[in-house]
Amino acid sequence: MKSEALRRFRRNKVAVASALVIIAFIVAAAFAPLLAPYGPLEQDLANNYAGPSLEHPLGTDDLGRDTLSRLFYGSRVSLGIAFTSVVIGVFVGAVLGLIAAYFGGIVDSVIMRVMDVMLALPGILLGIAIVVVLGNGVINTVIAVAIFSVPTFARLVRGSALAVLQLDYVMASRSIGASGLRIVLGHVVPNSLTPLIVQSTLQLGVAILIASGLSFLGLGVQPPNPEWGAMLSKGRELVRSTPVAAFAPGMAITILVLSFSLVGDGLRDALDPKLKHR
Amino acid sequence: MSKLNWLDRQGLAWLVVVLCSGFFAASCATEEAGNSLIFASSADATTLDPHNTTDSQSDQVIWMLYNALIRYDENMQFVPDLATSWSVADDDLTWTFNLREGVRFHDGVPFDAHAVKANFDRVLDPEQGHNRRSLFMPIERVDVVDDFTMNVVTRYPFGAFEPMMAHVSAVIVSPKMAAEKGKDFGYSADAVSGTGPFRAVRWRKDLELIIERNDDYWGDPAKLDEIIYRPIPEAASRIIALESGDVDVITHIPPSDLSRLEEDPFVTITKTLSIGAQQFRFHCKREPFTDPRVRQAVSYAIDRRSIIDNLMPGMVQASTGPLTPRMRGRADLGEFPYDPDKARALLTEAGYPDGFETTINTTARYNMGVELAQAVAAQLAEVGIQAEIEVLEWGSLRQYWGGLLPEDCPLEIFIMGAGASSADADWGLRPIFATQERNENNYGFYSNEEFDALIMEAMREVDTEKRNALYHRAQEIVYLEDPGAVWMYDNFHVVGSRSNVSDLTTSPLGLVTFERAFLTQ
Amino acid sequence: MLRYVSRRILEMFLALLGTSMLVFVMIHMIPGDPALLLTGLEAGPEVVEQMRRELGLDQPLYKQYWRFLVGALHGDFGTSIRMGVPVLEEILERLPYTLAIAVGGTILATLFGVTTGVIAAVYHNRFWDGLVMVIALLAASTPSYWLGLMLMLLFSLWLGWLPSIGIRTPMHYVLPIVTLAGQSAGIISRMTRSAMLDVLGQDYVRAARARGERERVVVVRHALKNALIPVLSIVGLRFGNLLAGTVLVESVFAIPGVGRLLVDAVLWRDYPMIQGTMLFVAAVFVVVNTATDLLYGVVDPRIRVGNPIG
Repeated sequence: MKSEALRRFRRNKVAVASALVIIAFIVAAAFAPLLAPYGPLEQDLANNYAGPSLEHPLGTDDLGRDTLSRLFYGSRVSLGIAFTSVVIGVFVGAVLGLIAAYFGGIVDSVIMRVMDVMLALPGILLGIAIVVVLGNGVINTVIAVAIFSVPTFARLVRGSALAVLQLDYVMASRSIGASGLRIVLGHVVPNSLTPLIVQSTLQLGVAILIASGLSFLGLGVQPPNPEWGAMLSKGRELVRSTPVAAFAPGMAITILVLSFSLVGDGLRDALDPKLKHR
Repeated sequence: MSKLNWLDRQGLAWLVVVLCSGFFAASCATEEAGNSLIFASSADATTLDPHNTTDSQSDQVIWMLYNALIRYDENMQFVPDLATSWSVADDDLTWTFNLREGVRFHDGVPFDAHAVKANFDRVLDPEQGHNRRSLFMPIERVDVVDDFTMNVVTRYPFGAFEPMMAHVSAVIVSPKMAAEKGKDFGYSADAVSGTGPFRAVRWRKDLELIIERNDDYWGDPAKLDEIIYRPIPEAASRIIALESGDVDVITHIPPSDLSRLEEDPFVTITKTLSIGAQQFRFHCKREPFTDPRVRQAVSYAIDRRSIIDNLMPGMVQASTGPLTPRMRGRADLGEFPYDPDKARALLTEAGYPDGFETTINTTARYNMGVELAQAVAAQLAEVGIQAEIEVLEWGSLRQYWGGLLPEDCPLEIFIMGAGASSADADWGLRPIFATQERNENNYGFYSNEEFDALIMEAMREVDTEKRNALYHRAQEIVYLEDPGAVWMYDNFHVVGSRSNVSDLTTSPLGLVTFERAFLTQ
Repeated sequence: MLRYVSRRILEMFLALLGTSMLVFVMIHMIPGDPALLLTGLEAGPEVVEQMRRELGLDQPLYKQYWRFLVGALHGDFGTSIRMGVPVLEEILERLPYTLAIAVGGTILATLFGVTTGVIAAVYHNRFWDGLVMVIALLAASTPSYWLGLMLMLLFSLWLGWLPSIGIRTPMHYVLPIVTLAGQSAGIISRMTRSAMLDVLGQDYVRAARARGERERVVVVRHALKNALIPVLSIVGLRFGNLLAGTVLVESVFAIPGVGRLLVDAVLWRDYPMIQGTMLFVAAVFVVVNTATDLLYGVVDPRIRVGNPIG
């Protein structure tokens, strides 16, 4: 089953290419100090607003910092925010979804209605509110983005958990007194994994976009931190004077988010047994 | 998928909303008038009630709709506006104004001494709680002598009386309209009435504020038929709108765009020295900033020239004193020199040979405020002061400015844009540096006895020469000897306009006005 | 039946009450003081104090909440402390602008998304599948404010085809709508593709093919028709997101919509306005939701039993 999925995924050239792009970004993040020609905070005021040149392949920003180096270091921040917030979102969402599905009744109602309300308040607005309450900064951005994704995962896990709990053999093991935890870990979690993996991959891209939206409103990660959203948010002011300062982080975000989306789609195709025969 | 689950139902419900609202969302077109000018700023006006205004967006519209008794001319001299002449009695307390006759407010009410009295009674009434009451506190009462003569009596001889009367909040509103509308006055186009060259027509918040020429204006009538104030919060959008000709005039131009716009044949850039300056303040009651030598050291460690030339080219000039050159009573004390060696020596003297760690709080609300703080931090690091940057959104930073005791205020070094709206030394020094127990307006808890004494003496001094001498000494103290802030630079007010716009004026207070402006071709 | 209806309505009010409390508590957790922001940098303490009294900020929190709740029940959401106008009036005045771009964006995104999705599904795992999906997802992968700015550069400044900012003519709506549509088109496209793949694998589609019907007929008449239901549900759901997405687009194109109203309200600590807008959005959502639930309950009695999956 696993190897078959892998084979199907490998046949999907777009998804494979996207996966390679993501890996490249992760490598860039890991080896940023080796790859970046300058430090991310190294200022050179006399050389600011520079266009692309040999010393600065992607030019410099308003403080004369090297845009390429900031992109390398920024990939750490941006990827870090994306992965951490999605992991938190998956974990909290999964736990809530499992509790709702397992206990049902009033517990289910309360949890799911709260999730509904969270979905009702549009995501970016929720993010704004959270960041304004907690204050700016990387960690608070992570929290805001994570909270944003909790309802999606809670719903997803609850749905697949309910389906699993109604399977005959699960009901049977329940009736012979298997513990709740064992049922959940033994039957529910493995069966929810596929949609969770797919959704998480897609959500990684969404997380990067939300973080950059918060930066646009002046509420996300704050300078001098080279997060891409913050760079783009500053860069947009330079779009007419030093376009590369805006295009570079803009392209980086678009390519990475697009890659996450395409890999997510590829995974879905590969893992979806219904599509096996086509 | 065959059965509709909850998700589907909810989705379909929204779809119903979409389709229903499709009918609702017809186009909202308005026609464009012939001789009309579109002015784009970064934000909408908040109020057209002069007694409540606290932002320049509102101020510049207010100047188009109202007149004060006296006003500044281009050379910062006082000239008649709604008053024809004025004088002060020998007691230095009673100011007599002779008023212009035959002036009418936009709502038809005639302008006279009773209207002026009603205005000052309105802004001074503690019950009504207008934002600008603090400004007029020196006034004890206003007496009507006859229909076109009146006396304003101050509590003490007040040296900054004329600047106060030329302030944007001293413009005269129609007493009838103000009484009718009460709290709502100034918050919609039909709740505004002044004597100015333009009258308010329509105000859709955050979309457009339209004013049209007042054909019954008592002075030279304006040439433009109408002015549309259109807020465009995004700097990049604002620039593009100007370059593509969708708007005629813009302000708040990012420094990086300035040189390109200056070369654009379709765009004219006008620069006027404004009353605003950018500075960093210290929490003077918090170690190590209790020591004036530390504050001096910080100031010496900053290379203003480099910051001005690279970060803000063409936008600012180095500060030469605590007050900007256009302010009355200001002293020219020269640029603060860049001298890192002296900074290190002062730090050693003060007991910090290896420097110290601190935080610089800044906000993006000020033009390049965040970048400025980063550049400063890099320079401070050269002398051993390790400053971390903390960027706060305006509302969060503002909570620390006002009414706190020193121990409740967590700031250390913080950005501040200063610019006394009356363009006078009293308002530019007294509220911000005279000793206060809580940081009501003296946000950095600055306290210097000699300075306090000088300021209070100068405030009651009506003789300009004596007054200036007192202020000169006070400024030496707060700028050089016991610095209350790091003065960075004085701002130019930079306005970009399409080249077919002629004769727009930037007032000494840094406000764009259109009483003489016109469009060619 | 009556019991079911009354239970749902009760639930609706409880949800709204919960939301209002949540919003209220959150607002007062936001650091900052509207009185300080409103009175400006040059106001003395007496003025600030007076402002606090006027805004009722000197009252204990439960009293402030009670005042808000009573007002809201009477349809009075208070007066904006920044703009001095009734909150509800301002929201309703701005709603058309936001709806115009959100509705336009939804329609455009659906047309584009469904078309590309169908093409991708038909050419599943072939060159066109990949290419079409990359194109469809490209716009959705770009931060909307950045996309909007680039469109403005291209079409307003360089080509001069479209106006840059504002809402004076219908042409002014083109760029904001395209920008907004870009955010959803990719998701709709993806959904259409997978729904189509689902359906194309069904027996009756194969049967139709076996009968020798033309491929276009198979795809459109048999497959698309059936794939459309889940797609339309996603479209509806996305509309909520689009409403939120307008926040950024409104800023870029200087459109005075509800999104900007809320953001400004938060930045200015305009408590009544934050409460009003948040509750307005939530109320529309909850009421519409309850109404459809009830409607389905009437149509399909099984739902009343409360099967959790539906």
